[in-house]
Amino acid sequence: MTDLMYLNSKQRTDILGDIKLTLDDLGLRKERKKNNLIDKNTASKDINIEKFKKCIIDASATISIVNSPDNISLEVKTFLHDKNISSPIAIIDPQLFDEIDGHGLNITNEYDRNDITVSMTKAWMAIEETGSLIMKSCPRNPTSLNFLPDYHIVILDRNSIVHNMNQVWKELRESKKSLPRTINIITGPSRTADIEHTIQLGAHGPRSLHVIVI
Amino acid sequence: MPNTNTEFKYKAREALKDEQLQQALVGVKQGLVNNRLDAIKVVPEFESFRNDAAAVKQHVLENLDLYLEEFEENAISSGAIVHWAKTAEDARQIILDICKQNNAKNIIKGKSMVSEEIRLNEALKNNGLDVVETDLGEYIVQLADEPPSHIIMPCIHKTLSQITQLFRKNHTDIHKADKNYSVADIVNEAREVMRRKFLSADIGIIGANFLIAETGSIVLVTNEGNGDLCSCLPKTQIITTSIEKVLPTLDDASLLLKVLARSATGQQITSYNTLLTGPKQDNDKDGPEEMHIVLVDNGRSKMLKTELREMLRCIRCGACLNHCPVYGSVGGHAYNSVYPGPMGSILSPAIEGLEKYYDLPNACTLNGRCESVCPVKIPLTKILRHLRNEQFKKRLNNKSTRFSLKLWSFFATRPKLYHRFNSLFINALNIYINILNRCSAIPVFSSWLKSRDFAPSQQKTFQQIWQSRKEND
Repeated sequence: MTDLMYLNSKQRTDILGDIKLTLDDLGLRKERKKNNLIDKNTASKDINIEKFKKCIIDASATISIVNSPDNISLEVKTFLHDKNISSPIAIIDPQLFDEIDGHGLNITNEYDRNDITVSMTKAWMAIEETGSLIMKSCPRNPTSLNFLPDYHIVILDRNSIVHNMNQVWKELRESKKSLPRTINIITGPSRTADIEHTIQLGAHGPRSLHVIVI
Repeated sequence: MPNTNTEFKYKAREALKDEQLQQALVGVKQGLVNNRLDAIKVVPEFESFRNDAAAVKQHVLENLDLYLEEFEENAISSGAIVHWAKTAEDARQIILDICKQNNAKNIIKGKSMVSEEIRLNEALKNNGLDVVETDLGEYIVQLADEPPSHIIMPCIHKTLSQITQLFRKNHTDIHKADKNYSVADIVNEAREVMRRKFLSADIGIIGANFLIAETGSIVLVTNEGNGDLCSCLPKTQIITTSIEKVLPTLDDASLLLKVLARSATGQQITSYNTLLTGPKQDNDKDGPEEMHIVLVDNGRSKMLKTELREMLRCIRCGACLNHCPVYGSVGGHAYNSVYPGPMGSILSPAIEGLEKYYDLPNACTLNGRCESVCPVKIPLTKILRHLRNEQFKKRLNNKSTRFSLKLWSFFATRPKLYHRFNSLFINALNIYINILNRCSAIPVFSSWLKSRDFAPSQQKTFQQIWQSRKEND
């Protein structure tokens, strides 16, 4: 055992031992009480896409709804044209890459981390209550693509929107796989109000977040 | 930064004269307070959320060892390395060792109050490491070589022109001296400078808002996205956090997030809420190869034994600062402590000693506004009163304060004597005021009367008026 490991295990014993003694001596241990407000049973209720849309816009992001994956490319073209962007779109997800490829969009799966203007990733789920996107990290969805670009485009399947955050956790538990390294719950672009309480978008992460719902 | 807190009164007086600071504090008193009100108006069940949040945090404290063990076990099986630090010194040593093992030179940091508490930046700098705060507010106070003045808005005391000057001095390669900088320009310049740092750092150090026992994950709440860049780019990740931050389940985290964002910035949810579990997985394109979680005790297990226990429910939202009339008048730096405001007036003496932070429990009017907004319903005034009692028991007050308190308690515990003395006092006061014809020159009360006038006397005491009314009825 190295000194550091020895020190660590000693401190662990000290801290936990101290807490155990306190809780037992003072008789503080109590059973857990049930929360007053367990999330109302919303499973049967339909997702209100208008509410979701409003939350997205309230969070300073933009949203458009398309009828089929075939329409994504046109939507992206319009978005880039409006923003006057000609840089290639960084896409890693092979499925997304194939879907977009061939529609005359400038896309790349070999981007330079130092110079990345636009990225496109797929959301795993989304939350109606807050307009949040749930991004799960995996080899096809590297976390940095959600944070490095100036413009972040997210593709979302309408059927994967749930009412609240606890339904995301439920899905995660039921998938029985080990947790991904990162789950990002993203609500609008990056922002700061550190200077004179003025809200400024694009602090370190994306300046603009565009959601395309299929 | 030395932290000898005998200077609150002096610093408070200076702060009251500081016009720029007073201007900045208006934003706290109006902006943040109103943001919170707007955010909870649309959530009728907010009060129930507060009750539930308080209950969850209290339950954790009552079973803290069990949840910490569960958290540790799950964190280790996700591949993270868990360190335990009894003191601030232990925590610094652990982190320095990790830096050394990784031959690190450049370190980027996300916002972490625990890292402020253990004075990590100073230790890293003294060991030749280049450390940069990446939260914009933290970065600005780092450039100014000042501590944060608010726990969620570190540079709340700085104006745009002060920040522009700091940037001019420090970003000589890109700053345009002749340009009139707007908030957007400053944010963009910081983004440009910081991007290079993000991409070249060896280690990313971040804090954690919650630790999840069920999964061994940490939850990180930000708006800027800097914490996320710190956690996905460098090849080593260190999380500085403290033992009371553990929560049983992910569902508990959703509940706490609901009260945290609304109480802190008045948002329904912040831009980024991130669940981090273990290091980079097979074939992942980014993420750290090592994830170190440093669990800091630094006096918390001791607090659990005392009447200060409920303070460990704190989720660091800053609402008590924003609603505190004392904080709102003097700002964070007057407290001369890592944690300012009501929560700091309890935490700092608890962590570093009542002797060192003698003034803080007394820098309070016991108006209770803080606890009426606390998302986890900490009885802040009760605990502050307890600390004042402790000061008296430990004989920390000066002689004249002790004498006055003793005198007061002598009368206050003898009602008959108290009433008799009180009517005598009122009569004497009336005669005195009539002679002088003004109220501001009453001896003993002179400092109290500096900023306000004495209400004209009713000639009788409350008890006398009450008695005569009862008789008339």
